[in-house]
Amino acid sequence: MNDIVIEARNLTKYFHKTLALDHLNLKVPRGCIYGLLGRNGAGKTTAIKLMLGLLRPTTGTATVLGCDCQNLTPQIRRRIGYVTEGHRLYRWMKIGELAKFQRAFFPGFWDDKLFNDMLDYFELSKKQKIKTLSNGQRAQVSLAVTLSPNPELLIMDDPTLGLDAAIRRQFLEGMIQLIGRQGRTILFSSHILSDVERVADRIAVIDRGVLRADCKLEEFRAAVRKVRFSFAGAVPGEIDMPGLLHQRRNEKELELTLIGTTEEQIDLWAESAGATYHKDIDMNLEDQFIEFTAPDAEKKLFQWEEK
Amino acid sequence: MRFLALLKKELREALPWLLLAAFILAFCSAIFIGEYTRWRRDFDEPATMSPRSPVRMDTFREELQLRDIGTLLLYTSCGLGLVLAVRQFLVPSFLKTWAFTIHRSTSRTTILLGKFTAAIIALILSCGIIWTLFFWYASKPGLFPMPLRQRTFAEGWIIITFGLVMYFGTVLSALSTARWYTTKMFGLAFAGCTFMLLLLQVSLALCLVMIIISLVILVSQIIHTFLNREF
Amino acid sequence: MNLKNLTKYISTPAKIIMTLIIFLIVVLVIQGAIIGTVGLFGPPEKWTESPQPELTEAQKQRWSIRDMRKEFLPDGTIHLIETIKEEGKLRVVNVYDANETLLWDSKAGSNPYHYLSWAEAVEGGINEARMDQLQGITSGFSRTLFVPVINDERQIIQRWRYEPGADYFIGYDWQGRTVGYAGSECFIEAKQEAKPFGEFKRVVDWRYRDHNAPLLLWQTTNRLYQIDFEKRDVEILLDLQDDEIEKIAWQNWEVETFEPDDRLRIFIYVATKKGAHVLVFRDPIERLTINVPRQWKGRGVQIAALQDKIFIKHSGSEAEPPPRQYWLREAWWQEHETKSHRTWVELHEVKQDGDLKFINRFEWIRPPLVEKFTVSWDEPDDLRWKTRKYVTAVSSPLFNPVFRFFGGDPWLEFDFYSRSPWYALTVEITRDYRATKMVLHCSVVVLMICVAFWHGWARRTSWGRFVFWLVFVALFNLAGFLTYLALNHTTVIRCEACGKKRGLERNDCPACKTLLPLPERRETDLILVGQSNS
Repeated sequence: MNDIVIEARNLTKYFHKTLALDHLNLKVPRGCIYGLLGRNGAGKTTAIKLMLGLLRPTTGTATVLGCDCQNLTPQIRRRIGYVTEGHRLYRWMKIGELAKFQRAFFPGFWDDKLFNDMLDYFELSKKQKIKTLSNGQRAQVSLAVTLSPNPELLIMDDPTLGLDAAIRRQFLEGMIQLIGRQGRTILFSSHILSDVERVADRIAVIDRGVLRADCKLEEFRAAVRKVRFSFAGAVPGEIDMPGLLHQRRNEKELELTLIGTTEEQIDLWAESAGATYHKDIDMNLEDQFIEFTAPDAEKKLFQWEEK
Repeated sequence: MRFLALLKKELREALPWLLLAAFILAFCSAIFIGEYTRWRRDFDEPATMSPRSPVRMDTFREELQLRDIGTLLLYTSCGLGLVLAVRQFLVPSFLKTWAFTIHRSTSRTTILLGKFTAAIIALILSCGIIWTLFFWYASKPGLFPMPLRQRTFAEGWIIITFGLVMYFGTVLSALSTARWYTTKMFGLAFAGCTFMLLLLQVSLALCLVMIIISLVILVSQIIHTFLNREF
Repeated sequence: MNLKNLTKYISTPAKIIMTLIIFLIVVLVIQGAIIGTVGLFGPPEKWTESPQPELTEAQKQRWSIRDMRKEFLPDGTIHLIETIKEEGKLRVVNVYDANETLLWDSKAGSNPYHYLSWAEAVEGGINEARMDQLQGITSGFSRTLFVPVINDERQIIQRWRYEPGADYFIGYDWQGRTVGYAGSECFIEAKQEAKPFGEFKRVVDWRYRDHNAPLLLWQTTNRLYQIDFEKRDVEILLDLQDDEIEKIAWQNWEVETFEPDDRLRIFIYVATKKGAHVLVFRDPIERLTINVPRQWKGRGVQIAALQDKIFIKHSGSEAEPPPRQYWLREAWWQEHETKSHRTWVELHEVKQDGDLKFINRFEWIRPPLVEKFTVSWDEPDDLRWKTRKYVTAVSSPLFNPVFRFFGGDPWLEFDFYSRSPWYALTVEITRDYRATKMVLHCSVVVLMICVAFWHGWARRTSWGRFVFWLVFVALFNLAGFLTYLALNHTTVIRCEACGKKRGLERNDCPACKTLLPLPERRETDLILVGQSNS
């Protein structure tokens, strides 16, 4: 069995003149929970749709479970569970009808007990119509019909969008239970980084269509750090620090966001710059992500006038 | 099994429109037959003959408004074709369910075939059967002074088949990613052109050939577009 | 080969054909709308009237004789009838003899002379084109003929319906039960014995007052029938076997018998494509083939029949008839219409065996048209015509050869409507929308090709496709260009290597062959692959 479940090579996509994805190179190993992160419009959904053959790449290729993404066979699709953005399902169907419809495509693989258990867990009835469900309930149904065929690979596009904290927690726990089964792989995109932090093994960060990070979660967490330096005298103008992402300064203090910079390099620079002391500022994944993807001169949303 | 599941789903979505079309046709046909019954009582009144040219060119002009049935059949079959195409191909774009549909463990061809089969069944069930029943009833001896012509029955089916052309024309327009004010409506426009050309035909066989050619032109584009389209 | 690739070979030409048809129609509609709008709101059409030259007395006389009607008396005497109109109304009729001596004028009371009356062409009824129209498939369903039979109380007791497919009539009583079939041989009760009439050409109908059903004169390619629905009789008036009927004229055949003109004999005259001239007389049915001289070429022939004599009138001229091809007309006009021609009309009696006996002949000189009219081959000088010249510059260059192929004869406009609707439509469109200002037209075509070239150069994926589209635009002009644009307007971007435009349909830049550049890698990128999950 191949260790690489999804592989993208120089995957590029133009929408008219807009470059949505620029030479994406990605490998998703088997058994991994892979988080795809990026700001709005970064290209996450585009990447997922390209991998599933819903879009056609301008250049580049991708394979999913060893099959070219542009020619995914029904047999391969049967092994992939896909949760669409917004959990779009047939509104006129009842939950039971939807399950019956879904089951027809997975003969011999559909786990009715799992489906019923999930419905019980989510307190949903088969007689309810999809259009009468809330966003959260629809997400639960979507998860249930996607997980019940026991897919080998689960691809989810922003699955917790619009869900409250309790439902998100349930959703994630379901994901973790699934990954407990041997050989299952999950690729998901999300804006809610606390969720990513809970479940992901590896992450990839896409910024304006370009892959900027592809590593283990703990490696990312360890690599991105914010350090505050205090100076007795003037704050140095030129900062010559390897791995410098951003800097913020006031009269006496300098805040540097760094990536991949070692402790020795920081100490050495602090000494050479004449800093009196320096300390790390705690950041959660969300803070790190924002710093990692922020442009150099960030515009403020609101410009308040000083009175 | 997959195809049947798709077909069932499409038929279920088409059901309200199918029933509406059948109801309209059946209701209006019943009114026409009922109207004729009233005319029949006037049948024995003296008929006026023109001294110069008594040969009549229109058949059943006075006895039965068969031409109105034909017009109704045309509007119903075209309307049904249009609505089905919109329901099957345009509504999923608005509701964003294409991704769910395409990501079935079946080929796109099967998905397309399911939709086409459902549309053909809907047209046959709603328009075809009602027309056949109407024709069978109207052909009963003693109901009309001249039995309906077999050719009229065939023409009715040609009209129903044209509803299929309208369906495929609308499908092509719905699948087109062009802007509506450029070439998006060309599928529909081509179906309209086919109708205009049909009006010039006398031979049923030639009519059928023209419809088949139009269908080949439309369906080949639809298949190619659907298999290559981005969703 | 999978379905995706297979459908490409059908769908691509299908898409091109469909888009082209629609754009051709769109361009035609816009052209028609522009011309129509100008015609509606522009100044009215102006026809330049040529000033009438002063004619000499001799010239006036020649014109006067040309315009007079030449009529024969039964004894062969020829009279020239002059009709003088004032303010569009008939004022005076003068009758002259062959020496131009005035014999009578209308002020002297009623005309004492009874001229030979010539058979009139059978017109009206339903011809082939009309029959096709009836059978056209429309939303109102096709129609056909039906013939009612009434009783003395004027109630319809039978209906006879013509079945075009079977080519005979089927009769029904008032309750819809079949009563019989009327085919080429007779009225019959058994369907198997009903025979078709033959390829339909025309039917005219009439009814006598004492009849309760109409009679039909049914013309096919080589037969003429009379069908009497009251007597249930089908009579074959003429059967030409392997010859075809070209034209028919009749005299009093359908006239009510209570107004007989005892002098005249009732007949139908048939001219055939092989040059035969046949008369069919009634009461009793008799046929007579007239031995018409070959040099007449079957033209200018009219027949009159009295009870005791049959006459044939032939009108002839030295001038050749005009050619069918419109582009030869001007040369023909220069050759013939600028000269005077000897013209004549002659009367012959038809003998019992069909031979002709010469009776009388009148000759005159038909003056050249240029004597009285200034004929200009210039086009009318009005806004609508000028607009048409400019608007049709965007039409397809193929319209002109197609128009020529169909004969391109605007003088035949009454003829082409009698042919198939396809023929009529094609002739009409190519006639009205073909380009006439050739320099402008060619300039527009070249412009379209240049724009297509400029647009397609950056987007080219293969030379074959590129050349195909240029040729396509050349053949269909504006419609072709719009089709090309609709199907080929793909995205272009600037190549980062050479700065030229390139399409995204191919992997490399067509100018410098560079692939799309890789993104710039930053020092702060964190790509740590090659380490699997533990």
